[in-house]
Amino acid sequence: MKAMENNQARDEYIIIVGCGRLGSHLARLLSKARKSVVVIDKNEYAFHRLSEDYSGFTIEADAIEIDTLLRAKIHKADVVVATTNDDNTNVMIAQVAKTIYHVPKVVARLFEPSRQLVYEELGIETLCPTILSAEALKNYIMGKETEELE
Amino acid sequence: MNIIIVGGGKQLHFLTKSFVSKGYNVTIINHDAEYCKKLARMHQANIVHGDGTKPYILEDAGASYSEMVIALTKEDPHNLVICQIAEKMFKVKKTFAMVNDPMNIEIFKKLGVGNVICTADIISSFIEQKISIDDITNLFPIEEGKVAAMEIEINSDFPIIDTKLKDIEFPRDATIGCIIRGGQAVIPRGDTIVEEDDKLIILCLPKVQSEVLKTIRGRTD
Amino acid sequence: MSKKILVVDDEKNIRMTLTHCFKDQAYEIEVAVNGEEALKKIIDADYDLILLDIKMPGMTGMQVLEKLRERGSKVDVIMMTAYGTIERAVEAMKLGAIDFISKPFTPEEIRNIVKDVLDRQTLYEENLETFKDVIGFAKKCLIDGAYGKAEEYLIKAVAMDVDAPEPHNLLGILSEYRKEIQKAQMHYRAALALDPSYTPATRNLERTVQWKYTQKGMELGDESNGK
Repeated sequence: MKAMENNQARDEYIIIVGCGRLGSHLARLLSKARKSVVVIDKNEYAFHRLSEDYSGFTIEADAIEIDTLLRAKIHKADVVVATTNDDNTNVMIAQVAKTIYHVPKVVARLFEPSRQLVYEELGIETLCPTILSAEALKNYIMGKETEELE
Repeated sequence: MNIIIVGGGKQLHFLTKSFVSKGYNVTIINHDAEYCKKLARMHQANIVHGDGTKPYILEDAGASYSEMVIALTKEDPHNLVICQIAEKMFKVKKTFAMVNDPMNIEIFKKLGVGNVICTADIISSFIEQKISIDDITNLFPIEEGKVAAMEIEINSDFPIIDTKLKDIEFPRDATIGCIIRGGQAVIPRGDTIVEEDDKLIILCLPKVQSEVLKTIRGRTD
Repeated sequence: MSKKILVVDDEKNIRMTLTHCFKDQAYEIEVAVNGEEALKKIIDADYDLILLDIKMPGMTGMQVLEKLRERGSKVDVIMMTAYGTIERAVEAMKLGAIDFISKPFTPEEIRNIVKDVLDRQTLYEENLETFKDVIGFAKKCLIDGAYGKAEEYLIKAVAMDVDAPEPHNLLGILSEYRKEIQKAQMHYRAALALDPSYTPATRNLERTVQWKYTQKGMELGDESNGK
């Protein structure tokens, strides 16, 4: 069975927590790329954001509860992405995924830049749209070519 | 001692009152401006208005020179973040997090939070341990239920009355820590005689709890 | 000759996921969107395996299975369940479905279970080699109602791997079939003594100590249990 899989880092089973604009868009992209995706959101209406051709699973439940993560089979996940509206919820889920369930790839979205350092210290990869957007805007305003972002 | 408490509600109110009366220096962080004003009027404490999960707010509140940070917000993830930032960025020695979900107790501990308190868990342990209402009071759970602590009042019809402790056949994994007699605490010895109205404070392993009760009362109920 | 698999599920995303999942393997996948279509397809063609969703509007998975068996079809069926709804397991078992997978499932999980079930089809008493073969054959016997043989092979399985909880769990289920509840509990406890984290046995044990004893929801431990 293993011989059939690619040698790249496994990214077949992906759990996305939070079906907001970012989460739903990401789910769609990944699903199009033939990945197996599970989207978790507290609110069923959020799943309306998913596209018609979304071919993954959805779970309507609160991801703060460990039972929800187990139901999504977090222990078998290759990737967990935390994109709820709340920074703190995202980093908690990310830590549970990484430290307790040893999910190989974990990313948390953060809105508040000042928290980024602490989470890097904890070994959690974070994505801060606020910083990325500000840098992109700065480059646009200052007329430079889009530089390599840190 | 400098203590920072993040959160609101009645627990915060009574905790602050208690700490202040013991002479501790308390700083409260709360994100509701109106409530902060109210707190400033009610308590002899420093009040910081802001989101305690943001590092610079904790800094403003003096986390760098606080011995203890207590996270009492309504959301478990917020409490986790507060304690982690306090510990990692400000090197606060003692952090306490309150959690709503008992399953988070283990998780928070695994993620490095020193002390975790779950009200739901304490109450349910309490109720679970309760065996009989009249003569027995179960004390607080110790070490997540690994030790059972009971207080039993001795009635006149108990078989062990007027017997020396060393002559009573208690199970192995139980010990009488203390006897409250006439409002005084007595540390018992082998030849201490059990009297009516004595209150026995017993520590034992949960598995022998029923046996202990049977020995003392003559029945388990 | 490649194996022919029929996927029956009212949810488009499941049909799509499964079709993609097996793309690079030598299986021929066909789909049905509801029970009626599934039955029609089964009349017209021979399938090696059916992946059947339990919860569908109109004709349910259980009804499809029942009708299948009524017509004398002995095709292998893997039931797909939503989280926490293994209650119909025993009914399904009696109708000859022994394998279950709960949603959501990883690509690896579904591939493994399909492979296991297909491999099991070539197991006969004469060619049993590994522990897995023996357990697979015992399960086959349980389904066919050959309890004596099932027991024989489960005992062999115990001897082959003394630390494995699965044979004990299945022995427990066998006891339940024979209405020997005390014995069943003993077997489940034995499974848990070997591996306290083996959830099928825990759930089975809990179910048998319920006030109103019911055989509904027997846990066969079919999914790859994260080991």
